[in-house]
Formats: sequence, structure tokens, C-alpha cells
Amino acid sequence: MDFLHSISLGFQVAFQPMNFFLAFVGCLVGTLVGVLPGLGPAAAISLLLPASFYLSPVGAIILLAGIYYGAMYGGSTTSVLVNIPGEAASVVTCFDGYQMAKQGRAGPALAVSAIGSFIAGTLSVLGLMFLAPPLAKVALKFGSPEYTSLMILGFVILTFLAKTSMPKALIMAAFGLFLSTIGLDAVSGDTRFTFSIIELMDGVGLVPVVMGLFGISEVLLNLEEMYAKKEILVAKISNLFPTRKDWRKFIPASLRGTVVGFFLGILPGGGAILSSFVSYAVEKRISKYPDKFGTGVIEGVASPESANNSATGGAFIPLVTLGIPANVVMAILLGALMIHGITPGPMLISEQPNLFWGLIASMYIGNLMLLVLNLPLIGIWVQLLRVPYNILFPLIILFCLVGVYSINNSIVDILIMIVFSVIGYLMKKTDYEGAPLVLALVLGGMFENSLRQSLIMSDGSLTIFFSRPISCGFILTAIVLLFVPLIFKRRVLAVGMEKED
Amino acid sequence: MNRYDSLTSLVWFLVGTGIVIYTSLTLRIGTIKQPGTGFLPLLCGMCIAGLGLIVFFKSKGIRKKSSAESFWKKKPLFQILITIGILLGYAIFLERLGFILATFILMLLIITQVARTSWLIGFLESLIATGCCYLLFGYLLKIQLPKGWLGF
Repeated sequence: MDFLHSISLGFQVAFQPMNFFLAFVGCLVGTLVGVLPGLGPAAAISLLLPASFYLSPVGAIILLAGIYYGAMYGGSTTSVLVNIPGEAASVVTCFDGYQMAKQGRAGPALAVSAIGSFIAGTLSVLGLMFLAPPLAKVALKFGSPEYTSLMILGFVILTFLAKTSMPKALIMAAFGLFLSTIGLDAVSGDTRFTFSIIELMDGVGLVPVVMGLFGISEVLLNLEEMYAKKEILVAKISNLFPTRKDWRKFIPASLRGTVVGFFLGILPGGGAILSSFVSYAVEKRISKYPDKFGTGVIEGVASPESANNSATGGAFIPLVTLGIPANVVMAILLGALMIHGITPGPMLISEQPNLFWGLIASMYIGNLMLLVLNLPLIGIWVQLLRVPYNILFPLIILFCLVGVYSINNSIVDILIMIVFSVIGYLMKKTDYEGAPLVLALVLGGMFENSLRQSLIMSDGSLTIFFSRPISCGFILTAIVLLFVPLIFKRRVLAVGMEKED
Repeated sequence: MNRYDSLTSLVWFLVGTGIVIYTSLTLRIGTIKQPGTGFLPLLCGMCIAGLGLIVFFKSKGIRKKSSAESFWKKKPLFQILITIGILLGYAIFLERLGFILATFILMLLIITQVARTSWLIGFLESLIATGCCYLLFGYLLKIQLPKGWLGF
């Protein structure tokens, strides 16, 4: 009864005209971002982050979450029709999706990815709804040592799953942690690394860093490609509906992808990209005709597309129960909530029921909106690919500049963004990933406080992390993951992701 | 491994060492029983320097391809440097020139010099983009945008 009351409260919140409109805008922008290569959900969310400060906390999270799961829907369209993944999680969809399109089956491929996305998105919201409240109760038992070890585990998992080398990803995490220490020390009130710049007293802002690393640096990188003119070959769509045989094949594949994606989405460091690769690998392994994968097999489209959508629901679980973001998009959402004065964690569901249940309900509605947006409007989305990049990128730059300035009316924020654009550009050229840096920057303050509290509690003994069972479990897992790459030179999970390069 | 790893790892080693030295000289490190202000930055600096060394030694074992393409492509590099220069100029002159004028000049320069569009199209696109941006941020969202010397 309590549960029904909560979900009806959620729908009341989500159906408020403003929130309904924001869910629609989020889905629309998300689909657009998914369709356009070179602009990922992290960049799009950071672009709209400043605008969300003027909304209510519920409205802001509904809008930003809509962009995230909307991008997962939109990414498949261009993968299937033009063999260009709109965002990284749709890379796998190209393998079989484009082959289907070349065989004249673009319609069923697009329908399968949209319907599979809808099934996965809806089921993952159900999973989030049922799993988050009991997990939040468990999280109430967490003290400083548990939080410290969980965050260490999060950093290690993220670096373990890094596309490039693990030491390089660890450097990024350590650098992100260092950046988080700039400003006033919360315990002593001393200033650190501010060099008498007043604006740095509050620390390095998340928005300028994210916009620099994911927004402007992406533009700089794309400028290199702008001169190499690419011809886009668009496959024709004849019949949209899958045959009965297709349905029989894709529904089980979609359900398997949903389960794989949801649980990988929960893992700190997991997320949509990893989910799509792993689900494709799983589907290929259990298939009766694995050698046909890559030639236009419907399961090869259904499973990864379902996985990357269900991962978005899964990724919300650590955020709303522990206050720990599972990936970089969740880290930006955490930053957005904190700017609104809301600290996600075990108390979020009981203290902010409007926000949690409103978000859940809006995700149900959003999934329906996306089904409507994606299938009939495919033609329009493909036309968008023809918008020349030299018209698009000045607007992206302008949005980043004004967005960053509008937060604190500070020129220093613009300069920070420019510095991180250059750093991000060089990082991309030299295979350093931005995600561990951003995650560490967001979690840094929380990590430092809990580490210091744990050490003071234990009188300087590190055994506190091993003497408490939950903390010990996290730390041991982190140690195992740190040493696995030394034992097995090639990390199995990264293999699929390396294909992307 | 990337073929520039030996260079980038040395940069990270220097960054880490710099953090360690600066932290040790200016902040209170404390003890493991009572960690001070500089405790975490010192740990981070040590990790960055140590991991930089690991990447450096790992990169030594990689045979480099002599035919690999250059890090910088000449023409785009020029465009990238111009873009960064224009952005820095915007940051410096935004509060002096005011939002509307600074943004118009920024857009005009990027569209004509980086995107290589004609001056007429650049002028029109800059005008529309600046106007829409002012309408959205300044008028609808009521953000305080700098007015500058000219008062707009």
C-alpha cells in the first residue's frame, strides 16, 4: 500500500505541466544528442546544467535524466542508417544494424532498437523502483570506513574498466582527487592551492571542468576531422515492422540485454558503453550461429540496444542510495543535485520522496515519449546529420561560454574551462580518459572527509578498513581488481571496448 | 599504449613531484592519526608521480611505429590555436566590451576564421546567435550579463 502511495505520488509530480514539459524537452534534446556524433550525453547535460539551476530540483533532475536516457535511444538511429554511432554506447549497434540496413532491413533494425530500448528502459525503471528503497536501508548502516572503501572500490573499478591503460586511468583519478582539494579545507578552514584567487576559495567548479573536458575539447578534436569531408550514405527505410520470426528472436535477446545492462549499470565505473559491449559478447557466446554476428543478425541489434538503455536505470541506484555516482553522467547529476542543496544518499528517498518517485514516474513517461519520438521521426533525425559541423560547433562553443559564465558571473570559470579544454584535447590525443578525473573531482570532498574521519576514529590504524565486514569486502575486491591486470596481461572486459578505437 | 606515453608520463611525474614539494612547503600535512590540510594533496601528488614513472617504464618496452601519423595535423592545429586564442580574448574582453558586443565579435571571428564561412553568412549567423542567446539567458532566465563600457 505504501509502495502504491509512493508511485502515485510520483505520477502526480511527473504529470505536473512543467515537469511533463521538462521530461519531453529532456527526451528531445537527448535524442538529438544521441543522433549527432561528436556530442555525448555528458557534454549535453553539462551544457544544460546552468539552465537547470533556475528550475526546481525535481524539474532539473527530470530534465537532465531525460537527456541521458534519450541519448541512448537516439544513438541507434545513425548507427543503423549511416554506420555512424551517435554516441559511444551505440558503437556495437553498427556491427549488425548497418548490415541489416544494407540488406534492405533498416526498418526492422530501427524498430527493434526502439522497441528493445523501450522494454529495457521500462524494466530498468521497475528494477530501480524495487531495488533502491531496500538498498538505501542497508546503506544507513554505512559509516566513514565503509564510504571510504566503497569510493576506493569505485575509483578502482572505473580505472579497471578503462579503455586504455590502468595506470593512466589511475593518474586521472589521482589528479581529479587533487583538484577536489583546491579551495577551503572543510575541517581546518585553511586555503589550499588558491594562489590568492578569491574565486578558487570555493574550489574548482564541476561545470567548467566538465564543459572543458567533454564540450570544447570535443569541438577542438572534431575541428581536425572537419577538413576531411565525409560522404554520408543513408540506407533507405522500406518496412518498419519486424516479422514474426524477428519478434521470436529479438524479445529473448532484448530481455537478456536488459538484465546484463541493468546490473553492469549499477557497478561504479560501469554504464551504458560497457553494458552494450558485454551484452553483445554474451549474445554471441550463447547464439547457435555466432559466426553470423556482424553480418546483420537481429539479436546483435536488440541485445546491446536494450543493455545500454537498462544501464541508465541501473546507474541511478548507487546515486540515490549511496550518493555515489556510477559513471560520469551520474557524477554530473550528483553535482546538479548538490547545487540545488540536495545531497543524494540513503536518506534521499525518505527525505525527498517527491524527487525520487517523481523521477521514477517521469522515466516511465519519458520511455513512452521516446518510443513516439524515435519511430515516426526517424526521417527528421537523419536529416539532422546533414547540418554542417561548421554551423553547429560555433553554437556549442557559445553555449559553453555563456553557460559557464552564468553560474557565478565569473571570468575565472571561463578561464578554467579553457584550460580544461586544452587539457581534455591533449588527453584525448594521448589516450587519457576524462571519466576517472570527473568522478574523483565530484567525490573528492566526500572521500577526504570520510578518510580523515576513519583515520581519526582508528587512531591512525588502517586495519579499520579490514575489521568491518562491509568495508573489508569492498577493499579486498579493490585489491583483487588492482592486481588482476598484472596477472592477466590482457583484460578480457576491455577487449570489446578496444575495438571501438 | 600511446606512442607519446614516455613524454606524457614524464609530464605527470613532474606534476606529481611539484604537488608534493608545494604541499610539503606550504600546507600542514599532519600525521596518520591526525591528518592535516595537506594530507590528501600529498598522497595525490605521490600517486601521480609514482604512476607517471610506471607508465614511463611500461612505455619503454613498446616499439614505436615509424610510419605513424603526426600528432599535429598542420592545418587543423592552426585552427585549434586560433579557437583557443579567440576564447581567451573573449574571457579577457567580455566584461569590458559587454556581453552583446563581445559575443557578436566572438561568433563572427569563429565562424569566419575557424569555420571558414563567408563574412556575410558569418555576420548574419553571429547576429542571430547573439540575439537568441541574449534573449534566452539575459531576458528569459534573467542572468546578469556584463554590460561593459558601452552600456549593453
